[in-house]
Amino acid sequence: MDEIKTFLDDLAAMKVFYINVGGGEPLLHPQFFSLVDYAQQRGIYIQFSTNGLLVDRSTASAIWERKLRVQVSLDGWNSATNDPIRGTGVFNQAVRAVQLLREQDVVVSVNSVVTGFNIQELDQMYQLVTGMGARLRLSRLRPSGRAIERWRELTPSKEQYRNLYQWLVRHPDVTTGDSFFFLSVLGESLPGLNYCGAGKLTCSVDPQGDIYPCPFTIDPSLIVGNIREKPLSRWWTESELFTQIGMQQPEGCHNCPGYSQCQGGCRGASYLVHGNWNQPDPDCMRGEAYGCD
Amino acid sequence: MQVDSQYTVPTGVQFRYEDFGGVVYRRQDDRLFFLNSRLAVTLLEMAGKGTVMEITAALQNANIGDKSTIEAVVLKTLSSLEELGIIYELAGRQAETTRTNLPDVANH
Repeated sequence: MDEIKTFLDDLAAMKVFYINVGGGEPLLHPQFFSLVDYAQQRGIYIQFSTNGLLVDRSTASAIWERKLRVQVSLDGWNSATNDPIRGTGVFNQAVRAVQLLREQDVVVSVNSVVTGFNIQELDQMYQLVTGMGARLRLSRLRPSGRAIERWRELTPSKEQYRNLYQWLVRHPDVTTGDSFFFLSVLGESLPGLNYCGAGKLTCSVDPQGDIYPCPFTIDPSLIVGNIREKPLSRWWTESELFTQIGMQQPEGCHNCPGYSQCQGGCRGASYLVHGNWNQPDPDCMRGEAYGCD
Repeated sequence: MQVDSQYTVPTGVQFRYEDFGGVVYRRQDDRLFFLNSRLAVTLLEMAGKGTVMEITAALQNANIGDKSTIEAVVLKTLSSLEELGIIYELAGRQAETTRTNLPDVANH
């Protein structure tokens, strides 16, 4: 607890606006709400992701009292699509969690990772989520963690990504964070962060205190340092890796007319697929947009 | 926004300096704004601490530009911030009750 509080003190001194707590499952931590209170007293807003399995009326009430924003994970509009990915029975429990949270008027986003298997069901997903009074948030499948081995098999095709772009344009109330800005080369920029914030605006700290450029670059080769060695505030300004990511325009993007719109896409995806920072996003759409390659 | 206007930053808006200028976060709609001017962040820090004219004078005293230049830049910057919804102008009695003393201005 003391380590976490020291870390939160450091974040407050850095004037961090908010932190996203993910997992694992944050609600498993026995002191989760105490730590949330500590962070909020220091002006740091908390948002967290949950699978919803530990959300009951009491938990929903505690979340509402603290005005927390919650993201419930669902990867399909029914159990047939969701549960093979998330686990048997999870769909029903996650939906129940959303309902309990909405009963307490908690602001809820339902986060769905878009793959080639669920991308055809976006309309149904949208109806399900908005029908519960929640907001749909779509995330990109990155080639990291457990997805790395099957990423090529699971990631949407270019045609599917093109259709996704049009779907997002038609649904401006669907949030995407920084997931799909690489699609902005297809037309108008999508709402949200339209460039890679890794090492410039955001970073990720794992339960062991290891720092990574972002949550999608959890790889031993991308450890910036550890907060037990020195505070994040010092790593933030002293890390060469952060500087390297911030300065890198991929060689493959030189002279590309689309670069100003896509900024080379996800740097993390590029690194994890190509093994270096010098390549465009592995799902670069420039061939679609500009007829090259 | 005029030289005798006062302004404030709404609740739920946070900001900080960055090397490129600054970043603003508006919690109400979860939006981030990137400011390419450290002056803009300084103006946010000084919100509620005087009229535009008084703030301009404080900046001038801290050797941040000359009067004619700084006043025009300040007004333009504040107008931009207002358009983005990051500040709003205080009116009349609200301005009187909100005012606090001007701080010393560090040369940012």
